[in-house]
Amino acid sequence: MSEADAVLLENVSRSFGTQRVVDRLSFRVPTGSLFGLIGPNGSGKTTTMRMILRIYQPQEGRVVVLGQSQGRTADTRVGYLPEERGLYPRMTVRRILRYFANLKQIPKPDEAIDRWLTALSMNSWANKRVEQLSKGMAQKVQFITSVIGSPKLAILDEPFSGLDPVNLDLLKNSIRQLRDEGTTVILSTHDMDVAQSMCDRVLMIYRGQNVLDGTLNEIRTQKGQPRLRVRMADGSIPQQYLPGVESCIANGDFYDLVLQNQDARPEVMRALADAGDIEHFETVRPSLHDIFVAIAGPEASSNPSVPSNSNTAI
Amino acid sequence: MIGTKAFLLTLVLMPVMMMGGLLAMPLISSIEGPQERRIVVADGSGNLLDALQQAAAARAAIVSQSSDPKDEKRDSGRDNPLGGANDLYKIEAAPSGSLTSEQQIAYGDEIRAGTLYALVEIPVEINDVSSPAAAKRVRFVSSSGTLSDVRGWVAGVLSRSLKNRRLLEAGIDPSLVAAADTGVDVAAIRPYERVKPGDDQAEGKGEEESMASVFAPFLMMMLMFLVIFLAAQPMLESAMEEKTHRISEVLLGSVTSTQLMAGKLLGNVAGSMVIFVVYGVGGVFLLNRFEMLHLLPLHLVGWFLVFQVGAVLLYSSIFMSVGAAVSQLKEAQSLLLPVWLILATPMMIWFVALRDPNGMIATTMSFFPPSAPLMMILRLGTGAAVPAWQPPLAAILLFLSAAFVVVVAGRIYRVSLLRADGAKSLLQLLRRAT
Repeated sequence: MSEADAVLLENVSRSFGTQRVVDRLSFRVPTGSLFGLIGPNGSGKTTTMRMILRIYQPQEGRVVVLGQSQGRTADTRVGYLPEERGLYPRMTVRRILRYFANLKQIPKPDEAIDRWLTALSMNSWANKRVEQLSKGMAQKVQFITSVIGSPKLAILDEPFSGLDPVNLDLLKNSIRQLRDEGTTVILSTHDMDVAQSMCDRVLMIYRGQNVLDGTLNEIRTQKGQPRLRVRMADGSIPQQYLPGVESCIANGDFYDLVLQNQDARPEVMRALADAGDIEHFETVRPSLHDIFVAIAGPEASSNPSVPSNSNTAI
Repeated sequence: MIGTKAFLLTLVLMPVMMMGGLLAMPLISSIEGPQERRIVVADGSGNLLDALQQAAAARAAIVSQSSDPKDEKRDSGRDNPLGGANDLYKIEAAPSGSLTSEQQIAYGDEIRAGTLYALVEIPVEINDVSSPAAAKRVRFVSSSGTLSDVRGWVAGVLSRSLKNRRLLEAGIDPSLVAAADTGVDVAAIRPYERVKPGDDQAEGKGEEESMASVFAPFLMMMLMFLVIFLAAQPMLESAMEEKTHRISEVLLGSVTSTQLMAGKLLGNVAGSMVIFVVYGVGGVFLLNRFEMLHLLPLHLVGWFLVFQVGAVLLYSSIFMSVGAAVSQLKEAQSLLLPVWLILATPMMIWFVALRDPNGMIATTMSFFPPSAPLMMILRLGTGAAVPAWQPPLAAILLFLSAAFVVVVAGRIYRVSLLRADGAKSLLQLLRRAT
C-alpha cells in the first residue's frame, strides 16, 4: 500500500455462517478522494465498511486503513455514519455531540461543535433534545457526530436519506468541503445521481466482489455500451432495419439505441438517414444508473430500495 | 447512569421500599413531635379510671422531662409508662360506666372526625375473677386499634392495677411480689479479649454489641444487594436502549466493543461507589440521630468495598451482555431469572447464616462467587471468628470469576450488538460466546 491510499483491501473475505458475504474483495481508496461505494442491497457494502472500521475482522485477506493493518482498536482518525441512525433520544444535541467529541478525544470539543452547528444551520437546535428533532435534523446531528473530529477518513453510509432538497445541498457541500480539507470520504449510496455527480471514483460491489472500480470516465468507457439518442420526424424507429443495434430504449420523445460496438455507429447513422427524416441525433454515454442496472439486473430491479429504470425497453 | 432522574429516584426510594417504614417511621415521629391523644374511659368497674389517669400523668411528666427519644426510661421494659411512643394521653371520664347505644354512636362519630383518639369501655365483670374471659374483655374503640401503641399501654396499666388490687385484697404486699417476680437477666456477651496487648485485663462486649451482631450484618447485606441492584440494572437498560435505538453501531464507529464495555464497567464501578457513599452518609446520619453511631461496623468498610467492586463487575457484565443479546424485555427477564435467584439466595437464608456464621451453608455460600459478596459480608458482620484466610480467598475467587465472566460477556456483547435477532435461551446466549 502506498501512502497515496487511505484504504487498501486485498483479497478480503468474510462469511456469516454458510453465507459468504464478501468474497476475495480487493480495492484501494486514494487519499483525499471522495470514493463512491455502490451495489444492490445485500451485496456486502455494509460488511466491507464494518471491516474497514474493524468492527468485523476479515477471515481472509488484509485490510489496511490509514497505514495500519493490525489490531482491533477503533481509530479516532476515522468517522462513521452508519445507515441505521441512532442517537440517545433524551440527550440534547450539544450534549450528544460533546459525548462523541470526547470519544474522539477532540481537545476543544465546543469549538468544533459550534463550527459544525453553524455550517449546518443548527445553532438554534443545540439545546433541544434529540427526540424533539425532525428526521432530517436528527440526520444532520448524526452526520456531525461522524465528522466532528475532522477525521482523516469518513465513512458515510447513505448520508442523504430523509433530507429535503435544501438540506441535501447543505450536506453535499459539507461533504465536498471535507474532501477539500483533506479528508478521504467513502460514500455508500443507492442514489446513482449522487455517486455520479459527487464521487471522484466509484466502486461497485456485487455479490461480495468488485465488479466496477475507477473514475466515472473509466467506468463508462469500460462498461458502458455506446448509445445513440435519436428522434425521427415521424416518431417511429425502424429497429428491425438497423444493423449493429443491440436494443432500443424509449426515453421520452427520444429513442436510445444501444450499439453492439462503437464501430457500428457510421453504419447505424446511414441506416437511419435512409429510413426517414432525423429530427435529433446525439451520441450519449450510459449513466452510472444504466451500468448499475445492467450489472445487478433482476436482483436490483426486484429490490424496491434500488432506483428502477424508468425507461421502457422495446 | 448517575445523572439520570431514574437513578436518583431509585436511589432514594429503594431503601424505603426495602426497609418499609422501619427507618422512616421513627424519623417522621421525631419530626412531628409528641401529639396529644384524647381518650375517653367508660369505667364500668368504678375503680380503674384513676389508675389510667395517674399513669397518663406519670407518662406526661416523663415526656416533659426528656424529649429525647433515646431516653433510657422508654426502653426499660414493660413497666415503661410511655409504652414505646412519644405521645401524651389525655384521659377523660365518660358520663357513665355503661354507655347507651346513642352515646357509643356519638363517640364513634368523634373518633371518625378525629377529635377523639379512642374510647375505652371497661365492663363491670372485670372485678369478678370468676367471670368468663369474654365478659371481662375491655373494649378499645379506635380507628387504628389493632396497631395502636395506646391499646398496649391501656392493657398494661389495667393489668398492673388489677393485679395489685387483688394482691392487696388477699393481704399480700404487691412490692414483695414484684421483688419476688424479678427475672434473671442473661446478657449475651462476646468472647473475652485482652484490653491491651500484654495486659491481663479481659473485656467482653455486651448486649448492644449483641444486637449489633444481628442488625449490622443484615443491614450490610441489604446495602450490598442494593448497590448491586442499582449498579447492574441500568447496564441492562443501557445496552437494550443502545441496541434498539441503533446507537451501538454509531458508538462502535468511535470505540471498539471492548473499550465500550470496559468504559461502561469502570463507570459503573465508580457509580456504585457513589451509591455506597450516599447510603453510607445516610446510614451515619441515621445512626448518629439515634445515638447508635458506635454500632457502625467500620472494620467492614474495606471488605465491603472489595466485594462490592467484584460483585459490580460480575453482575454488570452479565446484565450488559444480556441487554445486548435480547431484542425484547421479556427475553431479558427470562434470561436473568436464574441470576436473580442466585443473587437473592443469601437473603433467603440470612437467618440460618446468622445463627451459625461458620456453619457449612454459610461458609460454602461465602466462597461461591455469585453469592460471596452478600454472604461473606453477612458472616463478617456478625463478629464471628471467621478464619482470616477466608475473606481474601473468597475475594480472589470472586475476582477470578468476575474476570472470566467479563471475558465471556464481552464476547456475547460484541457479537450481539449488531445482531437483530434476540437470544431466546441461555444456550443461545452462551453459543454467542464461542
